[in-house]
Amino acid sequence: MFSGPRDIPLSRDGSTRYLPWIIGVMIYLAVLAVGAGLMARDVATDWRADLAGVVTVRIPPAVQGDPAKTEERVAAVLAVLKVSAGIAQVRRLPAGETERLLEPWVGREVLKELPLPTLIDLRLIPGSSFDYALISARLSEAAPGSVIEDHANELQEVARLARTLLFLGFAVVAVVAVAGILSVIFTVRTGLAIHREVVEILHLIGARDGYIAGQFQRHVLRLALVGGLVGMLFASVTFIGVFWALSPGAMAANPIALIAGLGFSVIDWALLAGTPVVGVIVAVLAARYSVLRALARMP
Amino acid sequence: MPFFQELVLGNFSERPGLIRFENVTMQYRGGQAILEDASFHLAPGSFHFLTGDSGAGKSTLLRLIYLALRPMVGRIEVFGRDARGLRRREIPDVRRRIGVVYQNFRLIEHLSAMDNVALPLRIAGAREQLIREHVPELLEWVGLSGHLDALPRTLSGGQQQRVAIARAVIARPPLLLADEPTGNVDDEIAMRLLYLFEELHKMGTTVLVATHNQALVDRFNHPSLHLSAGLLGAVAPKGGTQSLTAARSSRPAARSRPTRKPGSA
Repeated sequence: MFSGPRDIPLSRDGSTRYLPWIIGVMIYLAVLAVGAGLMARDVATDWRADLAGVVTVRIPPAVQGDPAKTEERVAAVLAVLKVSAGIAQVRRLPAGETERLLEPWVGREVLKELPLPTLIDLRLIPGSSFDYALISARLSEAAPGSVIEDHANELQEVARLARTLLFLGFAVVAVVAVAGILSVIFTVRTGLAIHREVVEILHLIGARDGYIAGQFQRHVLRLALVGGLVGMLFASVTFIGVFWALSPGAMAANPIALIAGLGFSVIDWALLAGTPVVGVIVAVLAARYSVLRALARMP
Repeated sequence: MPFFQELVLGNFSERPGLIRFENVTMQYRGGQAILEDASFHLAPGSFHFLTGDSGAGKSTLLRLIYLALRPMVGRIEVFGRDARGLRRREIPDVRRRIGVVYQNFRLIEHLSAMDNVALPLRIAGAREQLIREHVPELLEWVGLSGHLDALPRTLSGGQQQRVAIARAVIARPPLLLADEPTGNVDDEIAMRLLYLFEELHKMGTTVLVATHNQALVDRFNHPSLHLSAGLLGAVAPKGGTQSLTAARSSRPAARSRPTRKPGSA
């Protein structure tokens, strides 16, 4: 992969001196974007799991706010829930808690006047067959006006957030890739211009375009590998720094457990580790393509 | 020899007419015609001089042969193939069959004499062991056995020229073109170089040597193509024993009309 003719003295001119650094920075940014994207996805997934497992039943107070009648309605609802399948836990929110939740929105004074509904949180058994339609119908029967809220709106919001973060990650990677490719093309073109005489001699002696492009390709491969390793190293240090800043205790105590706790799958780790590899391959292909294009215009 | 033929030349047993120009005109943009309506052919195994003053178009004619230029008008056949019909990926194969000694040598400055001479073999994918065997042998033949690792800039003009010649012939091309190979050397070395070309010619190489040194041409019994102001003519060898290769211009031969009429371009 690294061996082959080196008739063109590419390593002796200054045209490629900064390429490892440029590629290093690009790969650093790309790895950070991929890592951040994966972490954001995991956080969003956790929120969704939390929200998806929770359902709230809202029971409006009885007409004229008779507490005894309201209690009857709540008891009827609880009775229905008790015999329904798929529910792990039923928790009635104390009236104080409901008021505390609403107070910042409507104010203490108004709150006193408001007929507040009773809220019951249900934690569902994951993967169970909780039948919204059936239970909703039974609850309406037991206490007319009671409603099940399944947090569909919040779930949608979280899903949208996850998609946006993922898109941003892709956008950063795409911008970095384009900038990296342009740097490689510019560097390679400069190299071709500097060594035009040698390239021309090689052509006249009977070298194929591939023979010449191969020399540029191997040169860029060596530089990109150096850049890739440096970029990956700095990205790893950055991630460790971020974990440390977020939870210094856990990081000091057991860094492996913390990293394992990220919930990254094998594919995720492969994606992270593969980012610099893909970066190097893209750099090499960009070099080859750009040299072949330029050579095609030479005699 | 069999190795080189397999490597670089392919099967050359049938050797068609090596080079054929038919009514070729070449003119650089906005300038006068460098070559005007030139027709000739080089038979396999022939030895020709290409004579003419500096600027007469000798280098242009050679560049047309090794496909560094395309003619504006006319047809050029190289090894039996119409140059116009050659695809880009076929051109290297043709060039590998043509050894060229350039006027300014065109050695690669950062490569040693050994590596410069090895280039055509490396490009053709020869094994390193073979290169290490053959290149020093050839450099010894041209009198440079003590300069294998020397960089071109540390060599004299004559030594660089011999490196260039060794590079041109290392792959035993069937056609050898030399552009003013005696321009930078004294008479004695010039004679030695031409004897070297004679040796290659005897081994079956077709040789075309461009030179403005008429005295040198007169010492060898080979026909000449003479270029003057873009017009090509054929000149028989001094001894007159060798038959002439067809060479003509649609106008009278340049020797009989060395200057162009005003407005003839």
